[in-house]
Amino acid sequence: MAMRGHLAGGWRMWSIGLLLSLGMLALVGRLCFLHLGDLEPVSRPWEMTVLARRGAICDRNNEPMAVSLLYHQPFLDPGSVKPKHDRRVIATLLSERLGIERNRLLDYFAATNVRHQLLPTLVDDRTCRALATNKLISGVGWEDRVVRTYPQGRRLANVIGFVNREQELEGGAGLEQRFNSYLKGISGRIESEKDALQQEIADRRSTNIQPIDGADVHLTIDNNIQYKVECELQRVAMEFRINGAWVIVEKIATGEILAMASYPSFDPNCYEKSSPQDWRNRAIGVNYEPGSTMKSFTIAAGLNERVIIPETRMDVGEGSWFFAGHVLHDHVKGTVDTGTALSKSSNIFCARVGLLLGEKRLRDYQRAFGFGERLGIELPGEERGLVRSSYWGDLATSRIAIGQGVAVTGLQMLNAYCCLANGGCLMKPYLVSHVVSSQGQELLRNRPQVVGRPVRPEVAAAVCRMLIGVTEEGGTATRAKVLNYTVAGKTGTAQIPENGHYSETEYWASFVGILPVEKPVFGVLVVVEKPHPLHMGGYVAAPAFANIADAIARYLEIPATVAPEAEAAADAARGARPPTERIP
Amino acid sequence: MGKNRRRYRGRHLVTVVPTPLGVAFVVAVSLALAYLWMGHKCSQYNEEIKQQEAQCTELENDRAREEARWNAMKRPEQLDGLLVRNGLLMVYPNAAQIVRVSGTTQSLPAGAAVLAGGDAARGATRIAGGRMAR
Repeated sequence: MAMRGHLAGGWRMWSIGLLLSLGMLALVGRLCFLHLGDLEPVSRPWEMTVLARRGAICDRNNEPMAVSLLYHQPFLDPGSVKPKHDRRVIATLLSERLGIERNRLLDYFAATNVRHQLLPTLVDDRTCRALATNKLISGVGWEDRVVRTYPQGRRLANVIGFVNREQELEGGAGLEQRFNSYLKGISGRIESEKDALQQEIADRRSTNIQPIDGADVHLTIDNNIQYKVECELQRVAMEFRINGAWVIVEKIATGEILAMASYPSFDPNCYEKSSPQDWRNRAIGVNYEPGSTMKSFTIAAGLNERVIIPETRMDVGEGSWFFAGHVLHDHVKGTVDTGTALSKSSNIFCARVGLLLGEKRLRDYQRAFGFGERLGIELPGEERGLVRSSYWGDLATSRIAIGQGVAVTGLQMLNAYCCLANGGCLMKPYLVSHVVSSQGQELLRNRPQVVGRPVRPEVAAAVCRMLIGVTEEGGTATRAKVLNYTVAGKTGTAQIPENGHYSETEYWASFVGILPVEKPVFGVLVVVEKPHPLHMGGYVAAPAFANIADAIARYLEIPATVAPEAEAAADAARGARPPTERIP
Repeated sequence: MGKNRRRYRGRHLVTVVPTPLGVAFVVAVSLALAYLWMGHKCSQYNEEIKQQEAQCTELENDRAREEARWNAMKRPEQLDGLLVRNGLLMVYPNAAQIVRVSGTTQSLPAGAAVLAGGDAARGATRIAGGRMAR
């Protein structure tokens, strides 16, 4: 009996053990099946592009001029609002966080045929997460947006350009366009699968390519100098009701561009609101007739070819010269030497020097100074100027020698003057200092580059000395004087050709100068298009140069080259009023 | 006593699950539990990593946005506007207002040496003047 009881109890235990073992076997089998079996996927494939951050553009002091920020843009999908959710509640919650009118949101929700209604707002990560995790909200999706912003506003806009919003932040103008391949970076990619809860299944991620952020472009531009230049440009625009203007500041020894401003300008943060004409970088994109500023190169060529010497004296008559069937007028009369001819800007003297040189040599020198060819600055839209290569004739030679019948860009003109100040070394101008990748690797570095030596150093020095006379008493640009410094420069006033004739009322007024002459540091070019009521370079552009040069000299802490006492004594001897201190 | 032991021995022999099966069962259960626990832990770490990554990205984006805001706030025109609003007129000193001191401290008067500081000892040039901070 007892034995039967024992056997019966054992049978039950065996049965339980067997069942448990079978259960375990079933579990292990299922586990193996799930892990090792060739199953049809029950998840959805999912792909995502991870946006690369576009590189920044910084000035020479690492001040950001253009940066990219990541935002999220919400969109509504009225069809996917869950039945348990109230659209009015969703609209209220969204309205509070997004700042969009509730009724407008309700209108969007009412349009059930639209499955992807982008809302006109951008939010940061925190707001996005708060709304995305809110249990009372459904039917709202989010798209990542990389937004290009320009913290300095309109500053340097014509140089930096902008990015097209329509096409995935592709550079549309200026440096943004030229350096697009460096700036844009490479987007990453994730290929994976999502479960029924729309969560990524981490171990099903088949592709995981991280984005490579764009490289940062560092400029030679100084934001503070650029600011001063643009303020002065604005003042000139207000005072002379101008059509356009441009200013460039270049470091003489290296060819670095410290500032480049154009008027009119635009705000790259909302470039679509401005006219395409405003996007133009006039400093390199406009060919203008230089007028008298070209005379310095005619004189330099004459001195270099020894057809004249500084002491050469020439009788320029009584203000008019009949040559090749045309009259050339001049405000300088009598016998003048080379220095006086340049400081007083004698047309007849320079025209005769041009004739002494002959068309070939004159043309060769103009080309040697960089006119008629692109300088290769890192910007799109650079003009090459106009230096005729065909036969000119004596009349044309006499006119081209004084800056008529020839066209240059502002950058060419300034760079040529910097060449004179640099002992006859023509530097290649550049405004991108270096490009650094997001990993810190230097991808590009520009270094000062000599591209030519059109004149001997002593000739360059002689011309610079003559150009000092332009800003002194009797010169054409006494308003270009800068306290504590000796300035060399040249004015230009050129009639604008319209309909095949030179206009009697519209002019280009310009001044190009270098400071200080003894140890040249920087050159400034100011060109003003169609100023009114005054139109002379000495009245319109020269004061602007003086204000800009004074501010830059203070900012760069350039040692004084004229002792204040000496300057005051010289002014007293001339009976002139001492220059008042300018506030930059 | 002896009878009880015999009874017990006999019952034990009949009712107990064979040792190997029992061990296998315990090991299998332990493995299954360990597997579940590890799976759970992995999911937990996965979530944590995702959260940390999201937070890192968020902070990085915040930093970039704040930096852009700060840059916009310290634009030269903003600073000039603030100075004007507060009735201040500040200019960079002109060249005549700058005192340049060079040479070693030994060759300088006492006051100038203090002014020149460490740079003078290295033969550098130092500028003393009402320089505007920007």
